[in-house]
Amino acid sequence: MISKIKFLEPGMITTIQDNGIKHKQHIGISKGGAAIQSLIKIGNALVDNKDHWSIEFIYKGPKIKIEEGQCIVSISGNVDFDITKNQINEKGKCFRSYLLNKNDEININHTIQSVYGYISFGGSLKLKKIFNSLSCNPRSKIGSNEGSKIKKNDILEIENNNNIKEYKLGIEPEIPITKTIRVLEGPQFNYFSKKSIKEFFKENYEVTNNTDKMGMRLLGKKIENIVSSNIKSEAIIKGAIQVPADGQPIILLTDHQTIGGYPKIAVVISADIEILSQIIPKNKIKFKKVNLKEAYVSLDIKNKIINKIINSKIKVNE
Amino acid sequence: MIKDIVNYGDQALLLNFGNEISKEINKEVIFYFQKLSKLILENNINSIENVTPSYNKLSIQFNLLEISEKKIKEIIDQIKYEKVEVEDNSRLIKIPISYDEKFAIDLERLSKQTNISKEEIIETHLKTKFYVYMIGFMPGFPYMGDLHKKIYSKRLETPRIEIDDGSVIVAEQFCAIYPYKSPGGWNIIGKTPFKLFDQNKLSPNLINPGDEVIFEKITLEEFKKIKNDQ
Repeated sequence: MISKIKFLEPGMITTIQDNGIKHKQHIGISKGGAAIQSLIKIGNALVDNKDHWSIEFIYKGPKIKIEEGQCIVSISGNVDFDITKNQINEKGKCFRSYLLNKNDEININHTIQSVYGYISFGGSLKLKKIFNSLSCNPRSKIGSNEGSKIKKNDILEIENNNNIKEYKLGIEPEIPITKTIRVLEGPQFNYFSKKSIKEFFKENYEVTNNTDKMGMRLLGKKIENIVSSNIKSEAIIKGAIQVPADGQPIILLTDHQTIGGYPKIAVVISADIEILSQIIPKNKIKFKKVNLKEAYVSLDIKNKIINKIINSKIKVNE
Repeated sequence: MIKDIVNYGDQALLLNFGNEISKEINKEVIFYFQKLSKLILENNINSIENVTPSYNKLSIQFNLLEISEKKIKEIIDQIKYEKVEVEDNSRLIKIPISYDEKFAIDLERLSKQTNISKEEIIETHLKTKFYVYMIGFMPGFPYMGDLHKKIYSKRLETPRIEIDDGSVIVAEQFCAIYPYKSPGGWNIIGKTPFKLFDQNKLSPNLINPGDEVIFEKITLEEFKKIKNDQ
């Protein structure tokens, strides 16, 4: 069965995302995908979807309407939204799925103290994959949907998976409150003065408004370079913290450029990337140096928690 | 030869092949990249997500939940070679370019800066067989070298806000082409009607790392004709 979803309002930056594009960084395309992978994993589990894709929104999300058919939908994140079923309006709850019928609507008002939220649907998206992915990067115009964000009145067609059960979670994900980000030494750690390295791990850095899905610009104690503020350009990875000549760090995030020529003082551990990505501008963050072993263990723990959350799924009326 | 391998975050390794920017070192990086890519494809190693060559380094990004760093190092150990087979790497690609003054907006300034006539700059550019060190910055953007020393130039102090796609640009020993409209601080010396990147094509990028590129001069009329025929 096919259902059609219409975007009555597109929201700020609303895009189709999945696990991202692999094996194309050598031609200038970074992996991208959903910024908060754990949220699309949980969101898709709630709608019984094996096909791992969701709609990503930033701050103000879209207003959607079921134009045709019926569909199971879930909202993941820390999100304020309204849901209209049979013309009755109610506040929506994150981390549960809703069975929506023709003309039902969801209005995503805004994310709460966070950047990203996700809408997951119980079915496969009928859209041509690009580089074996549905992910889309509107800045570089790469990916599905002609690399474009969702526009007003766009319609998505979904091939339903025939699940009509509504689920909620027994254990809900905790909203992270920490502003301490754990990092490993970067490849050019020794380009910076001992004094600056000490300060880097002691001082607070403010997340500036100059932050998007590509990178986060920070403002704080100037980091002094004692070798060179340029390196021979090399591959960039998500979480790399580069320091240009002005001494203010930039953390490369999900839609980072593929190569870069600034020295990198540190790299955020994978377990903390999602927490970092959800921090909104004007907040202050702090860096803590850890070793590889702690990074490995932390990611393993994080993964186990997500699986535990997913396994706690129960039917709504039970 | 790999000089050293360092951890790059917890899900990547950075292989260093030498410390300078040279064709010789870069050819080895690309040779190694091709060997590793083949191994990944043949053995369906999905846990390696990206392998990215640059001037003198190769980064290997992997999914830590599916593969360990130790296993990645074992895969690296499987790649053995006596010498770099350079001829496997390169294709020669011919790119048409119009140096019409409508496009070559920095040629005059470049001529003054280097004290070399516009004609001679063009002639030198056409005579150069460029080597593609890497693709990056934006999809399909080729970093090519090396220009003749006499036409080395500095970047603009204030980058332009928008440069047309197809613009052929130079800075220091490098030459590049913009696949998309973009801000940029390099000197614009001409424009190609060719489309460098199309995500809907089976091989989306016209130019690959390790390729060789020569430019072929065309007139403004020929430029318009090629552009219209696309």
